[in-house]
Amino acid sequence: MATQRIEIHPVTRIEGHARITLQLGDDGRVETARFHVDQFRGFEKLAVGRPFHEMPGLMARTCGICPVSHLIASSKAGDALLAVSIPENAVRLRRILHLAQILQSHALSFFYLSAPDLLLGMDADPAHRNLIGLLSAEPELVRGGIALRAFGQESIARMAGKRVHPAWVVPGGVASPITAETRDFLLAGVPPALATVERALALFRERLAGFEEEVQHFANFPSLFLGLVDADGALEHYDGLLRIVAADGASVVEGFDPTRYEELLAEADEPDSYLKAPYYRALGYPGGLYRVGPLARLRLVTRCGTPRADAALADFRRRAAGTDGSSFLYHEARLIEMLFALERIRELASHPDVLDPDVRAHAGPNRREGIGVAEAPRGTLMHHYRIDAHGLVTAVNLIIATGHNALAMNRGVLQVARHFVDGHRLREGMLNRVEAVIRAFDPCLACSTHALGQMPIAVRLLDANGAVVDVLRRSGS
Amino acid sequence: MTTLWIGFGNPLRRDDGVGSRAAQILAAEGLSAQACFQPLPELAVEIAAARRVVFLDADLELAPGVVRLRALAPAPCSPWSHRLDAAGLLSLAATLAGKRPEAWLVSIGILDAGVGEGLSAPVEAGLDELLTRARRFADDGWLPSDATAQPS
Repeated sequence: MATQRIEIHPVTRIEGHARITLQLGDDGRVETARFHVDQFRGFEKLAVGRPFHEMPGLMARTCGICPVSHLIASSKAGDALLAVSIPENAVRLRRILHLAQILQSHALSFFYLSAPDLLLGMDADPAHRNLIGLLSAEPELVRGGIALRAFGQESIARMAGKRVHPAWVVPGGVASPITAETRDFLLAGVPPALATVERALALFRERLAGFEEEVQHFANFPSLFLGLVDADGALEHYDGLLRIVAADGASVVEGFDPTRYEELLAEADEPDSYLKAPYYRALGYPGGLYRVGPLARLRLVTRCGTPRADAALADFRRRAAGTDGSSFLYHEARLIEMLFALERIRELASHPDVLDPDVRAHAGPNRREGIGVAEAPRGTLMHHYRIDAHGLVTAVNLIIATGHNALAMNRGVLQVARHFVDGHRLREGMLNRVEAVIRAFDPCLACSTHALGQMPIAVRLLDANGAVVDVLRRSGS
Repeated sequence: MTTLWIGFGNPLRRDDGVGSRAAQILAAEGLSAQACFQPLPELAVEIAAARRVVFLDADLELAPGVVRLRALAPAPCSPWSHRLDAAGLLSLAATLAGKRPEAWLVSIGILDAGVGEGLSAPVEAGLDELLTRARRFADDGWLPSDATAQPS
């Protein structure tokens, strides 16, 4: 019987609000661990009754970090409601915008939120284990990381009108073509950004040897991996078919139409979290646990499809053999995807038709049901709408990328806590590792808390009678 | 870049959004102005590239609609993004790029930062004064006589 409880509240350097509880047994060892997302959004309900063409702009408000992914998935659902095939250049521009967002989101996750742990150490003084502290230790890297995120955000602003919550992507295409000046901005920004990512990748690989224990115990377990791939099995973020592979890489599901996702996946509700917990139907709940996101995508694909990313992927697979189920490696996967995003942006923006003004198909609602699926920075994002004869929304189902990882994050927290937490005497570094396994997944909990460093935490360890055994406090800044 | 205007605030929290709204108006006039919900580390890159930066923001200490202009100096930068402020951004810009632009803050007292759109009556009335003061910086040679001297 568990007699002690540790609560980490809030979990820091993630996007959103959450807490972690650890239940200790009589022997002071962790018996259970839970990751609770205790913020509630309710977008599936508040969108009911709205005209379907408002949905992309409305759904973008779900998140301040990845609004473009919601725009894309929502607009693709809108395309399906219109029953149109959108112009080629609209697809091209949507892809560029989406890749720019993946770039800025991954840069935020790696450079702002996780690099302090990775480059200063999990046990470094929490007063300095943040972006500002990192600036002193690795000024070039931080400078490059900030510039990289700024490039992603400015690309979004120039294409779509603003950095956060643009409404430029619409059912049928995009609202307007881009200018030659914007195209030139995109192309000019790629070389310095590539240099920054390659420098960060080299540094990460150099430091990885110091994290052997974390690699072994950070959500390192066999699981399924799910995501979109293109017709050739290559990395794909905008469109494609669903693929699921097993821990050993064996194919489980191939070429599955993502609009039939309900045949593949079911959703469970957990009593202590607002995060829904999807699972693979064929294996049931909770055995149908799977992972999505950068690491999953790199496990699924035959190749990335761009030279630098493919070289980095080959190196990753060679070095990670045997530990490539470790969620610690999400960080490296994010860096490889940033290489891919930059190379692909250059390729798409160099296309001779990128300034083509034909970017939108116009139609009224021709179908009552539409599903849009894309790969968001954190994984597969699904928007599913039903409308009435007047085009008003009657039902919405959203499966957000982070939700797919709910079961895996819980299992990961337990694994880390059991390995690193000593219930007799808490140390800050122990708790940081419990948080850091969550950061590895980069959950986006419909963001409002973006701490660059530490947040105030008071963890109390109580015995069965409620007496305080130990207290660990961190101040806010 | 010579002068950069940056307005902060959430336009869905009524008067809190006054800085953003002012920046949007200045941008529409052709000035190099940006509207942001909140200070972000990425702004340090653009700040470092400017000769002069004018921040526009709401002020909880001033009476509603009252406008104040003051010089800004870099101050220690909070590791919390939600606690970043204009002075912290200046400090971050100085650390990142070794540059410290001349910096000013034009702020206005607010009445209502509740959920909703539109400014309260006193803040709407004070917006013109805020913009008038901010526009003066479009003249590169102009230095305000009614503000605290630029700290050394």
